[in-house]
Amino acid sequence: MDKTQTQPRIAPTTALLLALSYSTVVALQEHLYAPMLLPLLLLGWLHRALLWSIFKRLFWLNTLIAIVAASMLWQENYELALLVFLRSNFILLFVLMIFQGKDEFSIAIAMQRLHLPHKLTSIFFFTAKSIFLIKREFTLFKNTLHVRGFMPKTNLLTYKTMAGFVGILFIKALERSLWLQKAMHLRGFCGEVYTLEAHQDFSVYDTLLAFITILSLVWRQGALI
Amino acid sequence: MSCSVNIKNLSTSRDGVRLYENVTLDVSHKEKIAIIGPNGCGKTTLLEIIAGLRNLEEGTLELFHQPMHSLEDFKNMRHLIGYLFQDSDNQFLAPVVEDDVAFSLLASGVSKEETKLKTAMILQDLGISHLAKKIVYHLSGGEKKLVALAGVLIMEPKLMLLDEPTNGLDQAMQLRLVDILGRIDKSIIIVSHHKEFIELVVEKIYEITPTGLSCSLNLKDEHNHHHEHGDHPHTH
Ligand SMILES: Nc1ncnc2c1ncn2[C@@H]1O[C@H](COP(=O)(O)OP(=O)(O)OP(=O)(O)O)[C@@H](O)[C@H]1O
Ligand SMILES: [Mg+2]
Repeated sequence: MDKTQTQPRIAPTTALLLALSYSTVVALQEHLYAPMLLPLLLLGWLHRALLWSIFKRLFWLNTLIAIVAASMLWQENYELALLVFLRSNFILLFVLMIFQGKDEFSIAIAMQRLHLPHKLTSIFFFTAKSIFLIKREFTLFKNTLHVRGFMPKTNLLTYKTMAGFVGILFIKALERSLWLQKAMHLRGFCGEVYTLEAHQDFSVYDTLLAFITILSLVWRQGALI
Repeated sequence: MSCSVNIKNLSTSRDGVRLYENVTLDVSHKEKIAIIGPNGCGKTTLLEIIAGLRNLEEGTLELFHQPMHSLEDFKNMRHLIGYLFQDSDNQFLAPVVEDDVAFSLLASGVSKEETKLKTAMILQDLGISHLAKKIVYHLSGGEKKLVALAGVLIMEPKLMLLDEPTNGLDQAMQLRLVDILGRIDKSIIIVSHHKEFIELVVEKIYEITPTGLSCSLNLKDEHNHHHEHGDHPHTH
């Protein structure tokens, strides 16, 4: 089943480019302006069905930001605390929403489509692959424990099982990397991951979102803070 | 006789445990053979040695009449050897199906247009054209196997090493594979636990034992034998 089909499609390339520009500009501006909310509103509308889960993730990410903001409150620098808090949340929300439904591979593919250096994209591809395989190993292990009736407790068996699992993850990661090396040898890898795809499939959403995002970044009216 | 693979007195151990000794094997041009044996007897290890992924401890190995002494010698042979890994995940280099299938051709400098045609053809042949734009890691086990296989077939290697090619394939796909492999006029070594399948594809079946490789079935000679007795109508 292709999950991306049921959602408004924003091409990975667009997502990567816009996420980079939005976060750079928002992070480096002296002030936050009201128009910067526009792309967030548009994205929010596009992902209206998933808003709840997006905000849940944002909430957990905010625990980190809260620590930073709290340290500023401690110094009674209220304005800076608010600025840091808002800024980080603008960027996080933008990134969370624009990459919604995209996995590590689509980001790597976007880098390839943008014609970034081969070395960089290949490293990204193989990193994405490793992350994916380790993630799957992790899920598999969790399911095994579940199926075999393992109850985590604070006892020796739990610690032993967990330690064993971490060990196995390391060994598997090492094994996978050896196999990757073998595949590279056999299949004639010489520094480039090729693609047959010549064109990029941008939709009307890409254009709209790009327009709104760029507009929001240059239209410096109505400072929020 | 012209040979693709020529192994003499090969012995192999892993972690100090001897897997087998005195393996001798000749695979002639365009011959298809299968290697069978229990789990852990060293079938995958043997394929890795033939593909130059593992050093030879004892014995000699010749590929297309060239002695292979070190892993360096295999460098010139790479494009002649196709290897389907037992675990397809290990094989993929590009994330999108068609890009991965096309990989070896593009890497060897074939033009994009030609590669595109060939890729489409091979995907069609395997009946998986609808997967072309998908992410390889999001496919089912059997689909992954087919994509990995397409990536091997597209190179038209002179020697194909297939480790468990039918693993995860349904009945219809297995028969399709029998047909595809039957049409290929190259040397093929299949490792498989799937007896009915290999009997449909290969001419000889070897069994790995601790004391070497023994030919447990030779359909080729049976075939000749029939013909010596005259022209009785028969089916194969
Ligand atoms: N990475 C490794 N390190 C050490 N020993 C290994 C490793 N991989 C395999 N072995 C050992 O080498 C022996 C041969 O393994 P091999 O993978 O060649 O078996 P196989 O015949 O292909 O088995 P199967 O039918 O299960 O695929 C096994 O006993 C195995 O335990
Ligand atoms: Mg094996």
